Amino acid sequence: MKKIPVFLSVILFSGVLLLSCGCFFTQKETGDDNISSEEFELDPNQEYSIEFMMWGAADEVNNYTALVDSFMDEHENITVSITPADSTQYMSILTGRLSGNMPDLFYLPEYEFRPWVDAGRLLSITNGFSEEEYAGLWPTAVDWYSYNRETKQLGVSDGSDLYCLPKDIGPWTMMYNVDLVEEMVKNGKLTQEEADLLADSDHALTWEQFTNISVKAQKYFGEEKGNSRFYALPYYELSSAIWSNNADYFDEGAINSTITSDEFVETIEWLWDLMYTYGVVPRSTGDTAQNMFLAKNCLFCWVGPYLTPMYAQQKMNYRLIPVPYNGENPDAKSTTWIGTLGLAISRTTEQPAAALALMKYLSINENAQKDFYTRGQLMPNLKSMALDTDTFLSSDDPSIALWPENRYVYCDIVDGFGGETKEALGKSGSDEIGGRVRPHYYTFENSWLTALETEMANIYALRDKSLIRGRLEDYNDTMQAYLDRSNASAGIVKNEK
Amino acid sequence: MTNAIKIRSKSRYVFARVIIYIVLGIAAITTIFPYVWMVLASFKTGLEITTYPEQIFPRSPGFDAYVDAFRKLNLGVGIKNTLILEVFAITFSPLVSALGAFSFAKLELPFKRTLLLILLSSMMIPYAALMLPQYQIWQSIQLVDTLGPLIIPSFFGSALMTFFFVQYMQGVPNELFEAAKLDGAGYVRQFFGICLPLIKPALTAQIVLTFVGTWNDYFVPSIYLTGMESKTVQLQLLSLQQQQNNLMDMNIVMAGSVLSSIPMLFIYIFCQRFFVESLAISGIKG
Amino acid sequence: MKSKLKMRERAVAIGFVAPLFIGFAIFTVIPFIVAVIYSLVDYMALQGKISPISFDVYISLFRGDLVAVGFGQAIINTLIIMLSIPINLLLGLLFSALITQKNFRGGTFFRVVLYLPAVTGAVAITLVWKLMFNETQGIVNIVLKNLGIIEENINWLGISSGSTYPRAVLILKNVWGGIGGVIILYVAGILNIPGTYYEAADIDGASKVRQFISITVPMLTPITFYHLIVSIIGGLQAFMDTQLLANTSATQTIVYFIYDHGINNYRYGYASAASVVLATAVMIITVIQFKLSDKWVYAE
Repeated sequence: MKKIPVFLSVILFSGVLLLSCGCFFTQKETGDDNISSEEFELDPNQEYSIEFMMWGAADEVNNYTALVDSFMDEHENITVSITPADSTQYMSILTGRLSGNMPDLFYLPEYEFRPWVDAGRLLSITNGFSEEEYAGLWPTAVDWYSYNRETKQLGVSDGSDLYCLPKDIGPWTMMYNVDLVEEMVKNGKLTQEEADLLADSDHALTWEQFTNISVKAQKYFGEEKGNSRFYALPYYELSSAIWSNNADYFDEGAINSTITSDEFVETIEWLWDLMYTYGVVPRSTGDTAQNMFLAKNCLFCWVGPYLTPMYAQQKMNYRLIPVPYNGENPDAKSTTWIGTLGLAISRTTEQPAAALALMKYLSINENAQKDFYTRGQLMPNLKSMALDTDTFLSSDDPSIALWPENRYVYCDIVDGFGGETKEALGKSGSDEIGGRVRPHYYTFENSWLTALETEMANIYALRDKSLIRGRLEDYNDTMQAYLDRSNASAGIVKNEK
Repeated sequence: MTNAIKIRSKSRYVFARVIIYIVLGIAAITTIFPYVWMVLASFKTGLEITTYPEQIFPRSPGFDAYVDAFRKLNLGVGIKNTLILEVFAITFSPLVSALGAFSFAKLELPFKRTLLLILLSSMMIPYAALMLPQYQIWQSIQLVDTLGPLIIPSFFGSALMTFFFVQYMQGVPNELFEAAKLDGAGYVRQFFGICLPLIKPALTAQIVLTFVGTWNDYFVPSIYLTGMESKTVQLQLLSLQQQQNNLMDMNIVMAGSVLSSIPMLFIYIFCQRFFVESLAISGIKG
Repeated sequence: MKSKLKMRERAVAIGFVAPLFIGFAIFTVIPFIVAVIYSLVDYMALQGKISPISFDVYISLFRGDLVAVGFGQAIINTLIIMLSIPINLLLGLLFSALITQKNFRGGTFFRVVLYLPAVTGAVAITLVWKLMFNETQGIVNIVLKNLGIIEENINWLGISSGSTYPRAVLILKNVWGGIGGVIILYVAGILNIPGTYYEAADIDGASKVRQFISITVPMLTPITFYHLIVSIIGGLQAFMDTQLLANTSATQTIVYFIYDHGINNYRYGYASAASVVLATAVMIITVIQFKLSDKWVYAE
């Protein structure tokens, strides 16, 4: 009769017991996350065994397994075990492992970088590089993965440390179908001047020029040739439009929402115009953009380095262009987004030297990088290699046969507005083409972006352009609430106005 | 006059029948159509699925997509993992649940109604709440990325299955057990000798349902089975889909879908009696 | 002597249910207690941050200042998608009545076919539905366009054509996938109704429709009740299947909300609180249903 209370108390007791074992709560890491350069040096007489956690499709896992195997051949005293995880569950698995046995080296998407580094989960690798190694890195990439935990400031600054190396760098830009443009020129639907504008990869089109060409393409392929599925562009990347009008989602430090600024509203109105006024972009975002491009159902499309092998295999004749910018805004420059995946070392690792060695091997080993770009999978993570006119930017090296002819546009985007690409190619003039890491990189939580994107879909569904501003103003409080919550999770509380 | 009514009612009867067949026919076609489409798409080329003008039938049907799917799916490993899970799921879970149900239905168990309700309450807690602590438990005993977290729970039966067996056993007369008791049969012998044979239809039904359920399960496995070598068939299909970021390779994904569905369709066609029974018992008695 | 036997039987009985309850303790109770503790201390896993025990998380969940929007929308979305439950019951009842008519041929065939989706894996089903309802390449839009029903492609799985479409697709998918089970239940139930009831009604001159309403429907209420409970419990917890097919602001469910705001943002305390609230709601609804069932469920 007393069995139920007894039963329950047993359960409770065991629950408390388990809790006290501490297997449920993770400890906050405190103190300095820097270790000396000696600790990053491999001892040839010591046996190392580290775990590397990653995700990827079967092909990618195989590639990395082969790469890790060759790493182990070079370092016979290091054993690496790879844990490939399901990409959709990756972050929850990684978080679940915080309560014990974190992998030594793991993938960390750039948009998870800030919360992880701020919580002290990552080991600083600042002292693990020689001058020469450091010089070979993209300065922009060093900037992405640097953080100052004291001031909570992203990027290289006084007292900041470097925490990750990029596993890959993916500038996301526009391209156009060369055959379709030639067809238009031949039939007098596009002037040679306009075709030359498109072909000029050193200058971005203005929104106006882009709209004009799109309207002509839409008229020709959509109406005259009667392809009801044709659209000049399958969809427009929100960030690429916003940043190319010198607007942003929030102010410096991601404290205050700026989605009601004139530039922001103007951008959204222009995107709305593309859909409704000009009808050159379908009214919804689809996951079928690349198919539309392949099927010649669009003139422009979005592209990144990882698509290179696929388009090479399909023998697509395409050319990259920098993203269009608002020519009427004197401060606007062509700015698109760059996706990147970081390689991070756990703060709790006991073998930082081996973990760093593998990290460098995966990120900046020359042979591996060359192998990757030869197969068209990645553009080089090493600046020195990417901007080398004898290798990646060479005009006749057969190892770059898979890449589009003006692949330097990718480099131009990655170097920011630094002009290094132009310099490497011996071109003059200021660098007007750049890129930034995706917007949720700047915040501690990324719900705000999914929420904003869903709200954008509502805005794109408006039938009246004049309602856009009001709608954004209505949404501003929500956006601000998300930002406040994100900052609060890192202990940043905004001063009340 | 009566004749006229008869004819009229007869024609009305035929008319009604035709309508009924049309309605049901539409329902049946709607049900089958996605399967047909799946098979058709698996025989097309990637470009055929996306080009304009659209094709209903593949122009040159080929097994290329199936070959690709086989190559990418690593079906052998997937089937092996799934079958290991199946073995535990269809033996231990029904057995342990039936044993519990036997106790609930036929033995002097104190507080049986309350206990049964407590057990059933586990159905009402959303998995999202339990996911993380459960993961941490498995993590602490180093069983993540093994089949353990999916096998070990089957040793402890299932609440729903127990409930189902209790319902079924209530229809089995107590006299049989009384008689066995008088013969001096122990409880274990009563369970294996009398109870199990008597609930055989229910048992088979549950085994079939569990088999299909385990085959098709993907959410919990996707949390624990992260390595390539431990993936089940469904997880392989899921990751195949995630690899294809465009419709170009949709034919391969569709071929994978066909391959993963075929075994269950066969089981269903041959065992459909058990499905019907199992559902019917649970519904009528529940 | 007798009581000793009884004691023994009790001991055995407890032993037989022991595995069930040990499993229940390990896999449900302990995790749930941990979840409750998480919610009380507002546990943030990544930061390793714990606050003093309080109900703050629950308060902010209901006040809604932790997340400005979303929870209310998620509840509405979940309830709308659950419209498939009454549709399933009504259509299922109708179809069952049709195929159990005397002299009706092919009843088994329809029953078997309509149950087919229930044995097919959700992954494969989602994939083919996605293909069929694809905005530009999907067969559904192509057919509707060729029939002249629509002029412009409908964005079925997104919300740019309106939030009705993704919801409608999900409801349709749930009806498509669930109706077979309902029919099997109802058919078994109908065949269980003693034929004498109908004979008596025939003698009274009651029409078929009349018989259906006053005999079949009431006799089937236990099944309706059972199905209602099971599908409401399931419907409130809908998550993955829904998100795989259409992930939009119009279709994100309660559990998706828990997952996204809690797990994706490392706020385990918050996720746990939301799930505790959901679990409580499910229990309350179930208890209410049981209480109300006395009024309308036919009992023998």
